[in-house]
Parts: sequence; structure tokens; C-alpha cells
Amino acid sequence: MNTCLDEGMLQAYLDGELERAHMEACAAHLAACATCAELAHEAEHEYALFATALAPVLDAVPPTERLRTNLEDAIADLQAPRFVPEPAPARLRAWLASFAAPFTITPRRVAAFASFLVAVALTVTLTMMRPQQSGDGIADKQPEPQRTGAPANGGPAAVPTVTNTPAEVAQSDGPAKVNGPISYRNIVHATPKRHRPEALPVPDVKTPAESAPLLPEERSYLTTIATLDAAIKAQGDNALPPSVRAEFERNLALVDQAIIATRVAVRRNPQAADAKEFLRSAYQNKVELLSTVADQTQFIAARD
Amino acid sequence: MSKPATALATDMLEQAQPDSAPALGFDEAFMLHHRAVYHTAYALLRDVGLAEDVTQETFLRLYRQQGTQPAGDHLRPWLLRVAINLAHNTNRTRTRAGAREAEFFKQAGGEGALTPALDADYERRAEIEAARAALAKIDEPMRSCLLLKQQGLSYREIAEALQVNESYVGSLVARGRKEFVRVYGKIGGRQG
Repeated sequence: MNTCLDEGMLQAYLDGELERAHMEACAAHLAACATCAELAHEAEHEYALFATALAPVLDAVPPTERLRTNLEDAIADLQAPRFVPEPAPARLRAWLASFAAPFTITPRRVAAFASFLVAVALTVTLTMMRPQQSGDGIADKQPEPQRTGAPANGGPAAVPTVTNTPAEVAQSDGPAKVNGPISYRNIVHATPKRHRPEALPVPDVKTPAESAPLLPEERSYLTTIATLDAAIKAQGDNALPPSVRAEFERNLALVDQAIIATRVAVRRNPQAADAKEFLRSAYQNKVELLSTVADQTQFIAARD
Repeated sequence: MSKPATALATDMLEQAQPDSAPALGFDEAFMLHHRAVYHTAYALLRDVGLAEDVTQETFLRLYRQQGTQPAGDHLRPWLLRVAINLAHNTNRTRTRAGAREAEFFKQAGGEGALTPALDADYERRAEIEAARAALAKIDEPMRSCLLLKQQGLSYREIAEALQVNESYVGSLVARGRKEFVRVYGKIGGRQG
């Protein structure tokens, strides 16, 4: 490569994003061109400065449990049937319709009335044919006219599911436009107020946590992990110094990724002993990590 | 902490064909990606509460897409794209209160209202604020390119998340980097 590297090519080289042939060509050019070598050195220094400056921002500890709990609540809220009251004009029409209902002519009512007339005619005929007999009144068995008509209210209506394509969702304008500060409630509940009567049954749906069935050996690990997690949380958020906490969170993220990856592998190959062993090791790593941190938080708490 | 399981699991995942791998459950997707989503939102919004809101809304949208959500390697860019769009919309509509708070913080530091040498936590917060303020002054898509690059995304993933040409990502990162250093120095961040 005889021409000097442009900034995009140089950055891609430094980030290892070029194909092998291009990487080798760039390396050869940098070895021969002092200008490009200087630019590469400067770019590395600048990027290191950027990474250092942004590290505290990107090391911020996400509130994982709170996020998960709030998310599960929001999902349960989505799944609960909603009572959507009809708008006022529709309710008025339905109320008026309930008065007119008995007078509405329907085929059923026509048939019922015809039956009544036939019954009356028979009764009269039979009575006229037996004038001297004591009247055992023939039981008037005319059927009651059927009452039909709109109910007083429409009842709870199912909320249509929002089905946007991923492209639409990703390209959307985001949360509904609301006035004032944006908060979670504004984002998720930017719909007219709804009434949810307690008598309505809540459908039995699985929460996201239950959607992926546990493998047999996972349950005992999860129980241990939950116990250790509770022990750490009992000491409070400030039990660990910030740098230690950040390191803990990073390691926890690595271990969680390992657990997920090995779970996927076991589900793909349930008979593979290696995959199951890797899953056990990943869980064991998490248990060790949490045990260490739990011991440390208790030690710090006791010392203070 | 030994990492044999981690390294081996990573190898196994890399060897798997993305399209043939079973789709992640929702819970697994949350566990894997919520940190990246949260950090991106936090860096763009400079507010913990809003970052939480955006993170929750991002995964809520993923939940609504169940059955049609992107699979494999496409999931993380999709989540980050949704989070970035939500963060930008939130930034556009939120009140000036956030800017006033940042200005007050800056003035408090400049006027010596707090003595940095006596408050190590203040110093850390000042560094965070300086980094975020510098980031806020960089135009899109350079800013998002830098953020996503710093979170370990490949150029292909960045291109997919930001809907830009992959061959252009290197230039965006380079220009964003230069701009950040220039602005960061002006704000008074440490030069290393």
C-alpha cells in the first residue's frame, strides 16, 4: 500500500476490523511511513483518553433487580384484561335501546307471536266445541316472548395487541409525545385512564422468568445463588467500595453470559456431557463469586 | 476467579451458527443485554431515572415483539437502536431542568463551592459529568458510534444499530474520537 491511510482506514486497522490482507498491507505501510505511524500513535492516545474518561460512565452499576421487577410488573399489566368504558354517546344509545328492546320485531318474536295466536285459536276452538264441559282451563302455555337486545353496557373489551414490525418499532418516534418530564409512567401508560374492576379474572400467563424451563441441575444452584444474593443485599448498596462493586458487576456479567451461553448449548445438545459440565462450572463460578463478595461485605460491615 | 467455563462457553457460542442457535428466552435476553442498554441510555441521557425508563421501555418493546424479534447476532444491535432512539426522543422533549442542573454543577465546581481535594466522591462525579458533557457536544451519529464501539460492538453491529454503511463506521469513530478529545480538554477534563 503506497498511499497514506485515511482516518477511517487507520481507525479500522487499529480496531482490527479489516480483512487479513488489508491488515497486513496497513501494517506494512505503517512500518514504512513515519507520518502515518505518528497519526496512528496519536489516534491510540486519543482513544485511550476517551476510554478512560468514559469508564466511570460505562462502569455505572445498573439497578438490575429493580429493572427486572418493574419490567415484570409492566408486562403483567400488559397481559391483564382491561375494562375500557364505552364512550358516552354509545352508552346513551345502549340505554335507550334497552327500552325499545321489547318492541323490536325479530324473527324469533314473530314465531313466538304466531305460536301464541295458534294456541289462542285452538283454545277458542276447543272451547266452542265443548260448551257444556267445566272449564279446566287449559294451562296457558304460551311461550314468553323472548327478550333480546343490547345489554346495558358492552362489558370489558380485549385490548388489541400492538403488533408493529421491528423496523417500525425501531424507527418509531419512541414514547408517545407527552408534555412535561418524561417518566416511565408517561412512556408506558400514555393511554386514556382505564378502570380495572377487581372481579375480572386475571389470565394465568407465565412471566418472562418462567418462559425458559430450568434444566434439572439448575434448581439447587439457583437456590444457593438466591441465598447469597440476599446476604449481599442485606448489607446495603454501600457495603462495597465503588471500584470493587464495579469489578464485581463486571465479573457477574461475564459469569451470567457464560451461564446463558452454556444453557443454550445444553438445550441444543441435551445429551452432550461436556455442555452440562460447562453449565455446572459456570454456575459454580457464580456461586464462588457471590460467596466471596458476601464474605467481604459481611467483613466490612462487621469492621464498621 | 478462574474463567475456563467463560472462555469455553464463549468459544462454543462463537462456533455456533447464529441462525441455527435456539432463540434466547426473554429473561436470557434481558440478562445478556440490559447492561449495554442501560449504559448507552445513561451515557446519552445523563440521568439515572431516565436511563432506567428507557431501559425498561426498550425491553418492553422486545417483549411485544416475541415471536418476531431479531435473533442471534441481530438482537443486540436492535436493542441498542431502540434504546438510542428512545433516548434521543427523551432528550428532545424533557425540560430544561436537566440542563440547569448540569450548569449548576459546573458553576459549583468553578466557584469553588465544594473543595475538590476534600471530597473524593465529588471529584469522581465531576469526571463523570465532564465526560458526559463532552459526549453530549458530539454530533450524531459519531457520538453513538463512539459509545457502541466502547461497549465492544463490532463495526457490523454498529452499522446495523445505527443504520449506517459499515465502511463509514471507521471514519465516524475517528472523527468522534477527535471531537471528544477537543471538547473534553475545553471542559477541563483530565488529559491523561
